[in-house]
Amino acid sequence: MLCIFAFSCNNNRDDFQERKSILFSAIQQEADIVTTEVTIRKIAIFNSEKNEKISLRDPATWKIGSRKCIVPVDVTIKYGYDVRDIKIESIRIDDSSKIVHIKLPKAKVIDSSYSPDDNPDNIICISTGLRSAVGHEIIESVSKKAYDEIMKKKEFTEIAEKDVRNNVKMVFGSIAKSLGYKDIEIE
Amino acid sequence: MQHKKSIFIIIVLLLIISVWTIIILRQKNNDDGISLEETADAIVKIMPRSDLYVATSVIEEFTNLRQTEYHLGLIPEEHSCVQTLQQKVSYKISMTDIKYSIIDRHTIMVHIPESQYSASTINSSFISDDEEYWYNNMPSTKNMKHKVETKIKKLFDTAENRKKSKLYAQEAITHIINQLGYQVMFEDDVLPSPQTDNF
Repeated sequence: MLCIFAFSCNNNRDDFQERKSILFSAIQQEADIVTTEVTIRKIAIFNSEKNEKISLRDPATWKIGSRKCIVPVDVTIKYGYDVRDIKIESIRIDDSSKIVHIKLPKAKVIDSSYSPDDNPDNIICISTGLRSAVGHEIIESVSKKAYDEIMKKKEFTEIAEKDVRNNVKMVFGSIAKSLGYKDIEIE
Repeated sequence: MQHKKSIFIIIVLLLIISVWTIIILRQKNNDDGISLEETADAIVKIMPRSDLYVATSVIEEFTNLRQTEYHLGLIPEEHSCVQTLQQKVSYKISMTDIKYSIIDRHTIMVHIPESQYSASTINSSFISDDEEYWYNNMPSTKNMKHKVETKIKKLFDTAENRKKSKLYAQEAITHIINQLGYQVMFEDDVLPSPQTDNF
Protein backbone atom coordinates (compact mmCIF):
# COMPACT_ATOMS: atom_id res chain seq x y z
CA MET A 1 0.00 0.00 0.00
CA LEU A 2 2.82 2.36 0.95
CA CYS A 3 4.61 1.51 -2.31
CA ILE A 4 1.52 2.46 -4.35
CA PHE A 5 1.24 5.73 -2.37
CA ALA A 6 4.91 6.55 -2.95
CA PHE A 7 4.59 5.69 -6.65
CA SER A 8 1.55 7.94 -7.08
CA CYS A 9 3.37 10.79 -5.30
CA ASN A 10 6.36 10.43 -7.63
CA ASN A 11 4.03 10.49 -10.61
CA ASN A 12 2.46 13.73 -9.37
CA ARG A 13 5.88 15.26 -8.86
CA ASP A 14 6.77 14.44 -12.47
CA ASP A 15 3.53 16.04 -13.64
CA PHE A 16 4.47 19.26 -11.87
CA GLN A 17 7.91 19.27 -13.41
CA GLU A 18 6.64 18.58 -16.89
CA ARG A 19 4.42 21.66 -16.91
CA LYS A 20 6.02 24.51 -18.78
CA SER A 21 5.70 28.20 -18.16
CA ILE A 22 3.08 30.00 -20.19
CA LEU A 23 4.01 32.89 -22.41
CA PHE A 24 0.97 35.06 -22.91
CA SER A 25 2.62 37.30 -25.46
CA ALA A 26 5.73 37.43 -27.60
CA ILE A 27 8.05 40.35 -26.99
CA GLN A 28 6.30 43.56 -27.96
CA GLN A 29 8.20 46.23 -29.83
CA GLU A 30 6.41 49.15 -28.17
CA ALA A 31 8.55 51.65 -26.26
CA ASP A 32 6.79 53.33 -23.37
CA ILE A 33 7.98 56.39 -21.54
CA VAL A 34 6.80 56.34 -17.94
CA THR A 35 6.58 59.82 -16.44
CA THR A 36 4.49 59.27 -13.32
CA GLU A 37 4.12 56.47 -10.80
CA VAL A 38 1.09 56.39 -8.52
CA THR A 39 0.96 54.14 -5.45
CA ILE A 40 -2.46 53.34 -4.01
CA ARG A 41 -3.14 51.50 -0.78
CA LYS A 42 -6.40 49.71 -0.22
CA ILE A 43 -7.43 47.85 2.89
CA ALA A 44 -9.24 44.88 1.41
CA ILE A 45 -11.87 43.49 3.76
CA PHE A 46 -13.53 40.17 3.15
CA ASN A 47 -16.40 39.02 5.35
CA SER A 48 -18.01 35.70 4.47
CA GLU A 49 -21.23 36.70 6.29
CA LYS A 50 -21.91 39.33 3.62
CA ASN A 51 -21.30 36.84 0.80
CA GLU A 52 -23.21 33.79 1.83
CA LYS A 53 -26.87 32.91 1.65
CA ILE A 54 -28.45 30.03 3.51
CA SER A 55 -30.76 27.64 1.69
CA LEU A 56 -32.57 24.88 3.55
CA ARG A 57 -32.47 22.70 0.45
CA ASP A 58 -28.71 22.98 -0.04
CA PRO A 59 -26.61 21.48 2.78
CA ALA A 60 -23.52 23.15 1.27
CA THR A 61 -24.87 26.50 2.51
CA TRP A 62 -25.28 25.31 6.11
CA LYS A 63 -22.22 26.90 7.56
CA ILE A 64 -21.71 27.52 11.25
CA GLY A 65 -19.51 30.55 11.85
CA SER A 66 -17.82 32.98 9.54
CA ARG A 67 -14.50 33.81 7.91
CA LYS A 68 -13.08 37.31 7.88
CA CYS A 69 -9.89 38.61 6.40
CA ILE A 70 -8.23 42.04 6.22
CA VAL A 71 -5.34 42.47 3.78
CA PRO A 72 -3.53 45.73 3.00
CA VAL A 73 -2.76 45.82 -0.74
CA ASP A 74 -0.40 48.22 -2.52
CA VAL A 75 -1.14 48.91 -6.17
CA THR A 76 1.42 50.67 -8.37
CA ILE A 77 0.25 52.36 -11.57
CA LYS A 78 2.66 53.75 -14.12
CA TYR A 79 1.47 56.52 -16.43
CA GLY A 80 3.02 57.70 -19.63
CA TYR A 81 3.06 57.50 -23.41
CA ASP A 82 3.96 55.11 -26.16
CA VAL A 83 6.78 56.90 -27.96
CA ARG A 84 5.35 55.92 -31.33
CA ASP A 85 2.10 57.79 -30.54
CA ILE A 86 4.03 61.08 -30.62
CA LYS A 87 3.83 62.13 -34.27
CA ILE A 88 5.86 64.71 -36.18
CA GLU A 89 2.74 66.90 -36.53
CA SER A 90 2.59 67.15 -32.73
CA ILE A 91 5.98 68.88 -32.49
CA ARG A 92 6.56 72.54 -33.39
CA ILE A 93 9.90 74.27 -32.94
CA ASP A 94 10.09 78.00 -32.43
CA ASP A 95 13.53 78.82 -33.85
CA SER A 96 13.62 82.40 -32.54
CA SER A 97 12.85 81.54 -28.90
CA LYS A 98 14.44 78.06 -29.08
CA ILE A 99 11.35 76.57 -27.48
CA VAL A 100 9.87 73.20 -28.46
CA HIS A 101 6.08 72.96 -28.40
CA ILE A 102 4.67 69.44 -28.04
CA LYS A 103 1.05 68.41 -28.36
CA LEU A 104 0.87 65.19 -26.43
CA PRO A 105 -1.65 62.40 -26.80
CA LYS A 106 -3.69 61.50 -23.72
CA ALA A 107 -1.58 59.85 -21.04
CA LYS A 108 -2.33 56.19 -20.54
CA VAL A 109 -1.69 53.50 -17.98
CA ILE A 110 1.50 51.84 -19.16
CA ASP A 111 1.74 49.28 -16.40
CA SER A 112 0.01 48.32 -13.17
CA SER A 113 0.84 45.76 -10.55
CA TYR A 114 -0.08 44.80 -7.01
CA SER A 115 1.61 43.36 -3.99
CA PRO A 116 -0.17 42.22 -0.87
CA ASP A 117 1.57 43.07 2.38
CA ASP A 118 3.84 40.04 2.82
CA ASN A 119 4.25 40.50 6.53
CA PRO A 120 1.90 37.97 8.19
CA ASP A 121 1.60 40.32 11.20
CA ASN A 122 -0.17 42.89 9.01
CA ILE A 123 -2.76 40.45 7.68
CA ILE A 124 -5.68 39.72 9.95
CA CYS A 125 -7.59 36.47 9.50
CA ILE A 126 -10.47 35.42 11.73
CA SER A 127 -12.61 32.33 11.54
CA THR A 128 -15.37 31.50 13.98
CA GLY A 129 -17.61 28.51 14.68
CA LEU A 130 -16.80 25.44 12.65
CA ARG A 131 -15.15 27.30 9.79
CA SER A 132 -11.57 26.40 8.95
CA ALA A 133 -8.86 29.06 9.21
CA VAL A 134 -8.46 31.57 6.40
CA GLY A 135 -5.38 30.64 4.38
CA HIS A 136 -3.21 31.88 1.56
CA GLU A 137 -5.82 31.02 -1.09
CA ILE A 138 -8.33 33.51 0.30
CA ILE A 139 -5.62 36.12 0.96
CA GLU A 140 -4.46 35.90 -2.68
CA SER A 141 -8.03 36.10 -4.01
CA VAL A 142 -8.85 39.08 -1.78
CA SER A 143 -5.67 40.90 -2.93
CA LYS A 144 -6.44 40.29 -6.60
CA LYS A 145 -10.03 41.45 -6.10
CA ALA A 146 -8.81 44.67 -4.46
CA TYR A 147 -6.43 45.30 -7.38
CA ASP A 148 -9.21 44.65 -9.92
CA GLU A 149 -11.57 47.06 -8.10
CA ILE A 150 -8.98 49.86 -8.07
CA MET A 151 -8.28 49.41 -11.77
CA LYS A 152 -12.01 49.26 -12.58
CA LYS A 153 -13.01 52.36 -10.58
CA LYS A 154 -10.06 54.43 -11.84
CA GLU A 155 -10.56 57.04 -9.10
CA PHE A 156 -6.86 57.88 -9.30
CA THR A 157 -6.92 59.22 -12.88
CA GLU A 158 -8.27 62.67 -12.02
CA ILE A 159 -5.65 63.32 -9.32
CA ALA A 160 -2.79 61.86 -11.31
CA GLU A 161 -3.59 63.72 -14.55
CA LYS A 162 -2.11 67.07 -13.37
CA ASP A 163 1.09 65.43 -12.15
CA VAL A 164 1.46 63.53 -15.40
CA ARG A 165 1.52 66.78 -17.41
CA ASN A 166 4.06 68.41 -15.07
CA ASN A 167 6.32 65.37 -15.14
CA VAL A 168 6.16 65.14 -18.94
CA LYS A 169 7.55 68.68 -19.11
CA MET A 170 10.42 67.62 -16.87
CA VAL A 171 11.27 64.45 -18.87
CA PHE A 172 11.01 65.93 -22.36
CA GLY A 173 12.51 69.22 -21.18
CA SER A 174 15.75 67.49 -20.20
CA ILE A 175 16.01 65.91 -23.67
CA ALA A 176 15.31 69.25 -25.38
CA LYS A 177 17.91 71.03 -23.23
CA SER A 178 20.48 68.35 -24.07
CA LEU A 179 19.87 69.16 -27.72
CA GLY A 180 20.45 72.89 -27.23
CA TYR A 181 16.85 74.09 -26.87
CA LYS A 182 15.86 76.48 -24.12
CA ASP A 183 12.69 74.84 -22.88
CA ILE A 184 9.65 72.83 -23.78
CA GLU A 185 5.97 73.77 -23.76
CA ILE A 186 3.25 71.15 -23.43
CA GLU A 187 0.08 72.03 -25.30
CA MET B 1 -33.27 -2.06 32.08
CA GLN B 2 -34.94 -1.87 28.67
CA HIS B 3 -35.53 1.87 29.23
CA LYS B 4 -31.84 2.52 30.02
CA LYS B 5 -30.80 0.62 26.89
CA SER B 6 -33.07 2.79 24.69
CA ILE B 7 -31.63 6.02 26.19
CA PHE B 8 -28.11 4.73 25.59
CA ILE B 9 -28.90 3.94 21.93
CA ILE B 10 -30.47 7.40 21.44
CA ILE B 11 -27.40 9.10 22.98
CA VAL B 12 -25.05 7.08 20.75
CA LEU B 13 -27.16 7.93 17.67
CA LEU B 14 -27.21 11.63 18.57
CA LEU B 15 -23.45 11.52 19.04
CA ILE B 16 -22.95 9.89 15.62
CA ILE B 17 -25.27 12.45 13.96
CA SER B 18 -23.44 15.35 15.66
CA VAL B 19 -20.02 14.07 14.57
CA TRP B 20 -21.31 13.49 11.03
CA THR B 21 -22.80 17.02 10.89
CA ILE B 22 -19.53 18.55 12.12
CA ILE B 23 -17.56 16.65 9.47
CA ILE B 24 -19.96 17.69 6.69
CA LEU B 25 -20.02 21.33 7.76
CA ARG B 26 -16.24 21.52 7.97
CA GLN B 27 -15.94 20.11 4.48
CA LYS B 28 -18.47 22.52 3.01
CA ASN B 29 -16.78 25.68 4.13
CA ASN B 30 -15.46 26.94 0.82
CA ASP B 31 -16.46 30.49 0.06
CA ASP B 32 -18.21 30.78 -3.26
CA GLY B 33 -16.78 33.85 -4.96
CA ILE B 34 -15.15 36.74 -3.17
CA SER B 35 -16.74 40.13 -2.72
CA LEU B 36 -15.09 42.87 -0.73
CA GLU B 37 -16.54 45.47 1.58
CA GLU B 38 -16.47 49.07 0.34
CA THR B 39 -13.21 50.75 1.36
CA ALA B 40 -11.40 53.87 0.15
CA ASP B 41 -8.56 53.80 -2.36
CA ALA B 42 -5.92 55.97 -0.72
CA ILE B 43 -3.27 57.54 -2.96
CA VAL B 44 -0.11 57.11 -0.91
CA LYS B 45 2.32 58.83 -3.27
CA ILE B 46 2.74 60.23 -6.77
CA MET B 47 6.32 60.07 -7.97
CA PRO B 48 7.84 61.62 -11.09
CA ARG B 49 9.59 59.03 -13.24
CA SER B 50 11.55 59.17 -16.46
CA ASP B 51 11.97 55.61 -17.61
CA LEU B 52 11.76 54.03 -21.01
CA TYR B 53 10.26 50.51 -21.04
CA VAL B 54 11.07 48.33 -24.02
CA ALA B 55 10.65 44.68 -25.07
CA THR B 56 7.59 43.82 -23.00
CA SER B 57 6.09 40.37 -22.52
CA VAL B 58 3.68 38.58 -20.16
CA ILE B 59 4.77 35.31 -18.56
CA GLU B 60 3.14 32.93 -16.10
CA GLU B 61 5.19 30.53 -13.96
CA PHE B 62 4.64 28.42 -10.87
CA THR B 63 6.41 26.51 -8.18
CA ASN B 64 5.16 23.71 -5.97
CA LEU B 65 5.98 22.50 -2.49
CA ARG B 66 5.31 19.19 -0.75
CA GLN B 67 5.36 18.37 2.91
CA THR B 68 4.50 15.29 4.93
CA GLU B 69 2.44 15.65 8.07
CA TYR B 70 2.58 12.84 10.64
CA HIS B 71 -0.62 12.23 12.57
CA LEU B 72 0.10 10.92 16.08
CA GLY B 73 3.74 10.82 15.00
CA LEU B 74 3.06 7.74 12.84
CA ILE B 75 0.46 8.12 10.10
CA PRO B 76 1.84 10.15 7.18
CA GLU B 77 -0.27 12.54 5.11
CA GLU B 78 1.15 14.21 2.01
CA HIS B 79 0.37 17.91 1.48
CA SER B 80 1.10 19.96 -1.59
CA CYS B 81 0.61 23.52 -2.75
CA VAL B 82 1.25 25.53 -5.91
CA GLN B 83 2.11 29.22 -6.14
CA THR B 84 1.48 30.81 -9.54
CA LEU B 85 2.53 34.28 -10.69
CA GLN B 86 1.70 36.13 -13.87
CA GLN B 87 4.14 38.94 -14.53
CA LYS B 88 4.57 41.64 -17.13
CA VAL B 89 8.28 41.71 -17.84
CA SER B 90 10.34 44.25 -19.75
CA TYR B 91 13.60 46.18 -19.79
CA LYS B 92 13.86 49.60 -18.24
CA ILE B 93 16.23 52.40 -19.29
CA SER B 94 16.53 55.53 -17.21
CA MET B 95 15.97 58.54 -19.48
CA THR B 96 18.14 60.73 -17.25
CA ASP B 97 21.10 58.40 -17.83
CA ILE B 98 20.92 58.72 -21.62
CA LYS B 99 23.73 61.02 -22.77
CA TYR B 100 23.51 63.23 -25.86
CA SER B 101 26.40 65.00 -27.54
CA ILE B 102 26.01 67.21 -30.58
CA ILE B 103 28.30 66.16 -33.45
CA ASP B 104 27.23 68.84 -35.92
CA ARG B 105 24.14 70.91 -36.80
CA HIS B 106 22.23 67.84 -37.91
CA THR B 107 23.67 64.92 -35.99
CA ILE B 108 23.50 63.81 -32.37
CA MET B 109 25.58 61.08 -30.74
CA VAL B 110 23.59 59.14 -28.15
CA HIS B 111 24.85 56.86 -25.41
CA ILE B 112 22.26 54.47 -24.01
CA PRO B 113 23.04 52.96 -20.57
CA GLU B 114 22.58 49.25 -19.77
CA SER B 115 18.92 48.27 -19.56
CA GLN B 116 17.57 46.86 -16.32
CA TYR B 117 15.23 43.92 -16.01
CA SER B 118 11.82 44.94 -14.67
CA ALA B 119 8.84 42.79 -13.64
CA SER B 120 5.41 43.65 -12.28
CA THR B 121 2.91 41.16 -10.90
CA ILE B 122 -0.48 41.23 -12.57
CA ASN B 123 -1.87 38.02 -11.09
CA SER B 124 -0.96 35.76 -8.21
CA SER B 125 -2.71 32.63 -7.00
CA PHE B 126 -2.09 29.97 -4.38
CA ILE B 127 -3.67 26.53 -4.59
CA SER B 128 -3.32 23.86 -1.92
CA ASP B 129 -4.81 20.60 -0.72
CA ASP B 130 -5.35 21.89 2.83
CA GLU B 131 -5.66 25.66 3.35
CA GLU B 132 -5.40 25.46 7.14
CA TYR B 133 -2.34 23.18 7.16
CA TRP B 134 -0.37 25.46 4.84
CA TYR B 135 -1.33 28.63 6.70
CA ASN B 136 -0.11 27.13 9.97
CA ASN B 137 3.07 25.59 8.55
CA MET B 138 4.05 28.31 6.09
CA PRO B 139 2.88 31.71 7.38
CA SER B 140 4.14 33.58 4.32
CA THR B 141 4.24 32.75 0.61
CA LYS B 142 7.12 35.20 0.13
CA ASN B 143 9.76 32.50 -0.48
CA MET B 144 7.59 30.66 -3.01
CA LYS B 145 6.86 33.90 -4.85
CA HIS B 146 10.55 34.74 -4.91
CA LYS B 147 11.25 31.31 -6.44
CA VAL B 148 8.70 31.93 -9.22
CA GLU B 149 10.05 35.43 -9.84
CA THR B 150 13.55 33.96 -10.24
CA LYS B 151 12.23 31.39 -12.72
CA ILE B 152 10.52 34.09 -14.80
CA LYS B 153 13.64 36.28 -14.73
CA LYS B 154 15.82 33.34 -15.83
CA LEU B 155 13.44 32.66 -18.69
CA PHE B 156 13.21 36.23 -19.96
CA ASP B 157 16.47 37.93 -19.03
CA THR B 158 18.73 36.43 -21.71
CA ALA B 159 21.57 37.92 -23.73
CA GLU B 160 19.39 37.72 -26.86
CA ASN B 161 16.54 39.66 -25.21
CA ARG B 162 18.91 42.27 -23.78
CA LYS B 163 20.25 42.83 -27.28
CA LYS B 164 16.69 43.09 -28.56
CA SER B 165 15.86 45.64 -25.84
CA LYS B 166 18.82 47.79 -26.87
CA LEU B 167 17.66 47.74 -30.49
CA TYR B 168 14.11 48.74 -29.48
CA ALA B 169 15.48 51.51 -27.27
CA GLN B 170 17.60 52.81 -30.15
CA GLU B 171 14.53 52.80 -32.41
CA ALA B 172 12.47 54.71 -29.82
CA ILE B 173 15.14 57.34 -29.21
CA THR B 174 15.73 57.73 -32.95
CA HIS B 175 11.98 58.32 -33.33
CA ILE B 176 11.99 61.15 -30.74
CA ILE B 177 15.20 62.83 -31.92
CA ASN B 178 14.23 62.62 -35.60
CA GLN B 179 11.04 64.54 -34.80
CA LEU B 180 13.23 67.32 -33.45
CA GLY B 181 15.08 67.49 -36.77
CA TYR B 182 18.29 65.62 -35.95
CA GLN B 183 19.92 62.45 -37.25
CA VAL B 184 21.03 60.01 -34.57
CA MET B 185 24.23 58.03 -34.11
CA PHE B 186 24.74 55.56 -31.29
CA GLU B 187 27.98 54.94 -29.45
CA ASP B 188 27.46 51.18 -29.47
CA ASP B 189 25.20 50.41 -32.39
CA VAL B 190 23.55 46.99 -32.34
CA LEU B 191 22.69 44.92 -35.35
CA PRO B 192 18.99 44.41 -36.13
CA SER B 193 17.64 41.41 -34.21
CA PRO B 194 16.05 38.44 -35.96
CA GLN B 195 12.34 38.70 -36.75
CA THR B 196 11.29 35.78 -34.56
CA ASP B 197 10.56 36.42 -30.89
CA ASN B 198 12.25 33.47 -29.27
CA PHE B 199 12.99 33.36 -25.58
